[in-house]
Amino acid sequence: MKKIRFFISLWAGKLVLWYYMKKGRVNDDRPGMRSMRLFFEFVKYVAKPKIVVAVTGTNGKTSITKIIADMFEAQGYSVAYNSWGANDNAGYARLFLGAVNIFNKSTKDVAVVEMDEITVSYMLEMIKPQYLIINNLATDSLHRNANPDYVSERIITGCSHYTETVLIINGDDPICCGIGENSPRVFFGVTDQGRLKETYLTNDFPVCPKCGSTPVYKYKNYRHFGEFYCPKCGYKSPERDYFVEEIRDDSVIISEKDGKNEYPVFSSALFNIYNLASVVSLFRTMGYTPEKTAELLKKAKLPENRDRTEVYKGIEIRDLCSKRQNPTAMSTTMEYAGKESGNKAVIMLYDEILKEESRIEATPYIYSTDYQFLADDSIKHIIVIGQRHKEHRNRLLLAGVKPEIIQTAEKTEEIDPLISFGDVDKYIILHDVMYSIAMRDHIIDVIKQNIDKGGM
Amino acid sequence: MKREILYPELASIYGDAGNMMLFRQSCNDAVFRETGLEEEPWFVSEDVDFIYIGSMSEPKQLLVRDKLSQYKGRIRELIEKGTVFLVTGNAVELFGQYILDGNKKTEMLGIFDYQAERSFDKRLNYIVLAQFEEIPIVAVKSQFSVIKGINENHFLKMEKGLGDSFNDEYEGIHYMNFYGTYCLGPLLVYNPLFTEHLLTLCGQKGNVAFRDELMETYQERLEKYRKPDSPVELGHGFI
Repeated sequence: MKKIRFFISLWAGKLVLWYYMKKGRVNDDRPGMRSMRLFFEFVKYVAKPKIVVAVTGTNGKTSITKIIADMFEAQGYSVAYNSWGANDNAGYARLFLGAVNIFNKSTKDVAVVEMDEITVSYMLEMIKPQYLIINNLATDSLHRNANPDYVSERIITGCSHYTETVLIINGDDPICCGIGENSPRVFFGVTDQGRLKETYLTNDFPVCPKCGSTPVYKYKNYRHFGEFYCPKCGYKSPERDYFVEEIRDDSVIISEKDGKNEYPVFSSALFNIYNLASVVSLFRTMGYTPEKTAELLKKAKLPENRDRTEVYKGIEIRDLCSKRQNPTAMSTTMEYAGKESGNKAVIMLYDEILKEESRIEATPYIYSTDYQFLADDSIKHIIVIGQRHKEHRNRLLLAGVKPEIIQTAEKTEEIDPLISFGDVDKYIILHDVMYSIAMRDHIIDVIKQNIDKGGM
Repeated sequence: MKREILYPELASIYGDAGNMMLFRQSCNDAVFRETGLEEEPWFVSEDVDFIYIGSMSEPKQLLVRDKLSQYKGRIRELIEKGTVFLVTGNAVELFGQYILDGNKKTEMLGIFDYQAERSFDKRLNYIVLAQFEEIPIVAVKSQFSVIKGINENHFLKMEKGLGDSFNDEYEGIHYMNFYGTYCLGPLLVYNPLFTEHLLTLCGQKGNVAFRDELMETYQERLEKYRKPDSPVELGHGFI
């Protein structure tokens, strides 16, 4: 009976997928949604490629997935992955619909699955990946993910149901360290970056999960990531199998069990060094040599729209994206904006343009986000554009930003001519990963036009 | 004037930190103390005039309960003396009798006669439009539990959104100067008039900080929430 239901769901999904492809709607999960609605266990029974890698964690999933897919494609493999980041039930079904024929035979060599943290509890045993990267866990959208304790419990549940997957875990993240105690595990980490004293509004690891005492850090790289131990019960960071010992301009040195190896970096931002360490750990665990891993890394690129810098007539324009509603991702970009050298103008584009007047977004996440990093004397101007510009203004004021440097507007055209400053070396645009891309591109054009006009 | 923030390292999630950001900036002459989980609360030895505790994760609730359970008598004494308590988010569960999660019953402090019923199957995300005395209140809720058993001493009279439980007319508890609500996030930032009410109770003179700016967003949010077609249940990002 299940077989019949499965094939009906496969063929129905395939038909919808064919229609969507014909219409050019390639990046759409709805064919997968169709299959899942007909048969929820579709993902369990659909044929999988020989190699299946999954990536989960609060931040970095889409970047890591893209890098891994690039590295497999560079070897001539056919790779199934959702480049648009679809990482829920419909997204998984959509991915595998595109990786089998109508007889349920796999047509791809590799699947790289971006896996939403919440779904690991039931999806890990359906997909049965050989490898699962758990990159980090931190505060995310409260409406969906509640808190990291809740999310880690979901992942622990998933890993206890299926223990064959090799877990590649950020050993610097104390929340992740307790996951998968019955699974084969590989840990990665990054050496001390000298940032122990930094404090954040949200502390995702305030107490030892084993005994409730206050943990002690030997070092902390950012947020709760670092090397810790509990002085009361002895719970501590695991030994890292792949450990970034040195970060250079264009490469990192990673200490491994049989020596030290050099790998190219795709971004010097610390969170991207962690992303890189996870990818190196994966390929080395799969048996790739350090040389081959380094060679493949050179052929990989971060997703577009992420972490870009452009110099236009001597002025740097940098854009940094983060998921809106995700306080830790937003805080990381704000920390960067505050600490970056030079005099800066910061433009915040976190709010999408909404068509429906009545839509209201809940904004508690703004009050878990570290706006205090923007109260830095090196930031000369802050411009906030979007529907909730007044809410962001209030938060900036509470964070200690001087009112006279804040300008806000609901719509970009109201403020475009004002984005021109003679006292800055850099424009830093902080924006949402999805909803404000068009606005970001517009603002970059506006900055360049204003520079051309000599306004700067 | 002595004001205590309990366990902010773990009980200020979901944007609840915004409450004390504003309250502190509105009380320039008061002394605030943030009490960590391994410290003895200030209220044990001092007559503080204000105590705040906010949202925390479910495992952390048990740690906090274990710490506070040794001071139940003192907490009751302070409530009866009129000390101002503000308790937001799932911290309100601590002051009830127990949490029921399926068949599992977890005892809480038992200060008040209500209980929480929890299910991790669905997160409840709602707006709140309500009235506290003469003050309209706007807020949001995001929770795994509903509250049952508050039959008197209600805090908010609901107009729209999720009350203590589904279809409840009221939300939260207000006894003496104890204000407990499952509303979370920057409740005080969203509601400058209620913040001024609390400030007055604490003997604080003057307005809430950034009053003009906060009143502007408060009025706009009120207007939006009052629209007959404005959604009540929150999605992941929008409502």
